[in-house]
Amino acid sequence: MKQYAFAGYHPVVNLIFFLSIFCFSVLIQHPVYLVANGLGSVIYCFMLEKKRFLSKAIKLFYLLLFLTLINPLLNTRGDSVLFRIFGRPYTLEALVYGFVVGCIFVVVLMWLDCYNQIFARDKFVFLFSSFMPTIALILSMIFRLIPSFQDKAGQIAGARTAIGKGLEASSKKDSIKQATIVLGALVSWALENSVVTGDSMKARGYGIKKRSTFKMYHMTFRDWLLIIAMCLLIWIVTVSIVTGNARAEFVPKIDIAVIDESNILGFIAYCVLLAIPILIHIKEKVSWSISEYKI
Amino acid sequence: MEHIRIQNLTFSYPQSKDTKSLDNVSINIDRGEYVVLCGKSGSGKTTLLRHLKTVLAPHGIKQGYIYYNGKPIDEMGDEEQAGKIGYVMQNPDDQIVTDKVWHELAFGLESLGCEQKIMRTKVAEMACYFGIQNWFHSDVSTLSGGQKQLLNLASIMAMQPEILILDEPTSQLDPIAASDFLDTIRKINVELGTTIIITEHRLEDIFPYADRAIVMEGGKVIADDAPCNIPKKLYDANNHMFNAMPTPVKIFYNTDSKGETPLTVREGRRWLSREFETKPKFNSIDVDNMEDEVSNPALLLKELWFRYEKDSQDILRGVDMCVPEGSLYAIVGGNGTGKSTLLKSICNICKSYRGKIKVFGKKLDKYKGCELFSNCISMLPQDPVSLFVKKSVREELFEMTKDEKRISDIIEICQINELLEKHPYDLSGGEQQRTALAKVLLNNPRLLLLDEPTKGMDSFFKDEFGGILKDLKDRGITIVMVSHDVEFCAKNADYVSMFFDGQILTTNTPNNFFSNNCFYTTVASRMSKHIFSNAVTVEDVVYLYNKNKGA
Repeated sequence: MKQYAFAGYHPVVNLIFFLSIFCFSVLIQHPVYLVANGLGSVIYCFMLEKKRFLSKAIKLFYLLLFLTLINPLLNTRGDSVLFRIFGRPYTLEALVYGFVVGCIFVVVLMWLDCYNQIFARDKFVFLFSSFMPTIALILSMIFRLIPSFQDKAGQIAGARTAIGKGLEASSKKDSIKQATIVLGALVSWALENSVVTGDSMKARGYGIKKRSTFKMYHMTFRDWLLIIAMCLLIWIVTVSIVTGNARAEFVPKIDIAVIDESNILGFIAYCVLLAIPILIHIKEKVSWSISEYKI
Repeated sequence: MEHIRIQNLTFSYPQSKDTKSLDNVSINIDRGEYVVLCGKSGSGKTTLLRHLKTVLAPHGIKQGYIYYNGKPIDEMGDEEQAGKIGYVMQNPDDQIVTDKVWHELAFGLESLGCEQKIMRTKVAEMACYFGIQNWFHSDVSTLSGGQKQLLNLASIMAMQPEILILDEPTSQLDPIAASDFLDTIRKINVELGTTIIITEHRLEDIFPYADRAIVMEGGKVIADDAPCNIPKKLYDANNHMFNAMPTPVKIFYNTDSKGETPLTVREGRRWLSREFETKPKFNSIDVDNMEDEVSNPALLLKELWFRYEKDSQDILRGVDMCVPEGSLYAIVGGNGTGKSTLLKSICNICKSYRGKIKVFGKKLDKYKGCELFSNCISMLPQDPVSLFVKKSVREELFEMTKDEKRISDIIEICQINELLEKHPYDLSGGEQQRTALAKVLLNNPRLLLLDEPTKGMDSFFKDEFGGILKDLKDRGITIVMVSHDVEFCAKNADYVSMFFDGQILTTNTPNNFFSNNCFYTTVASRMSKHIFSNAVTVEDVVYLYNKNKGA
């Protein structure tokens, strides 16, 4: 797997960033904030995955179009009626609102994609291990079982095909019957194996003492620094939202808060927060090229 | 100093009170000793080993005593027991609990509530000692069987046990991974002084290095001595465990030789050199050569290419193969070279993208629907358990057909009379293999494909299985077998092919094939090559020896 700069930070840092971004993305509908958020997500997504970005972006664009056009059909509120369809008004406000909601959707999906790249399964399990070790262990065991289940299901299906009892049977009824048999075999196989796994756990002293956890990640100075910075930024943005400076309403009337000198700080803080992973990514790229250049 | 003392241990399982699984077993094991425990499947080896690890000890009626460091083993504390006695099981997959290599390594230490700093050092130490650093962060699911078993070993060694118990640890591994694993065990014994108790089918690799061998039969210890003294006892008692002994030993005793028993190939070669100081009169046996033209092949492959995904590497790279009808055709080769894939593409489970396959003279794609698998091809998968879907062996067989006469025929051939009422999961490895074979045979195949059929079988079952295959061949069934087991192929196959890099490189009769190879060949051939030109099995060497000695 590729190693990304931001992924090198402690899981808590990653978690704070993504949680705050997801919350803000859903809460803030202000178009200017949304543009900043969109830019941030697109740039970072592109940095992480240059190859697959285009095909993904096209899919997301269709989603955006769909959500925009469908909203006025469901939501008929709004003052300026463009035309009537099925006897219901199709309003400009609803269309704009649909567009904004669509954008939020797309942005969240983009960030989710980045999250998947940065926040590996390890980190997820790690976060649990600090305060709920048992849950963390169960998660880890589940992640272990999923691929072995897939493997085994393939093996059983293959083995049955080779004795003429494949899933591609002559009739639909037969196929379903064969699939149930495979599933049943998979369950008994899993039960049988869990006995061995249980023995293996017992043999290594499972349950005789309170478990400790092997910590793969450690907080360093730069992690603390980033956490403090992010908390500060999150606080500023939150204040800005609470005081109504990021307010935006679309139906029945478009009403958007104006950003001026008095409340620009909240917007700037938001932009900086969004730019954190991008800046870290660029910083690492640059420092690498410098050290390569020196060689 | 005495590490473990077993005194008059008798044990029987609750469901079979009359038969004793362990019968008056008394063994002393010293600190730092390397003890190999051998015996047929079902001779009570696993039951005995499990008694040494109290948390895994089976429930039943137990008499006698086990002492650990002079104290009764039941009085050991949980923590001491978990840390001091390490137990490695047979199946590499099922023992692994977590999803990441590092997590698995730390699992035992976590259970013992080990402190963070100490744990980090111990895990790091283990990763280095076992060469795991490079896949320390990997997902467990990406590892090979050998790596998985090494991980199991390392995660137990991380707790620094004083004694290591291994229950057939290499039975699911290919020969290379198995001998690597056994080397590691030896290294642990020699470098760390850990006491080792191991059960193993593959005595060839282990017998020469063990301090002591214990042979069990029917729950009793029938021999307990240094490895070099064991074969004589077994041979004199005419015990079938003698067949499990290393090849040089078998040749030595089957030729009625006297003197010091050769345990390794090196010792065997020396002994043969001494026996034949002048060149022997007969130095080869008459063998059939390969026929150039096969008139009616059961299976014909021409230029077969296959890969799993569009952009992935080719697994099969132009395979040409021709299997004469009624023969046993073996394909040998390293691990992960695509041998199993080849069988799958013959079954059309993996669809080749170039080349042609003809089964009994008819192209593969001309077979419609299930036609290919009814009275034509059947495959026995690598893991026989994949075929089991019912609650008893009898039901398994009735799933295939309702014809009772056919079923009783097949039961006869596969010798599974006594297993009919048992649950397929309760059978031993060899029994499972025979049950799976019976199920496959009920499909009435004319071409039978076997994927690693001897995996996990002890030598006794192997001989039986060889007999079953011969029986099937006599009934006109063509068999194609993929295997790592060169000894088994040399003994039972009619033709052997070398599979490498997605191609079949050479094909020949076993004698010609193995006598042309220097490394990838049988033990008998390596041992006798400097004297006899084409003896590849124990029987061949013994035959030539006796012929030359005029016996």
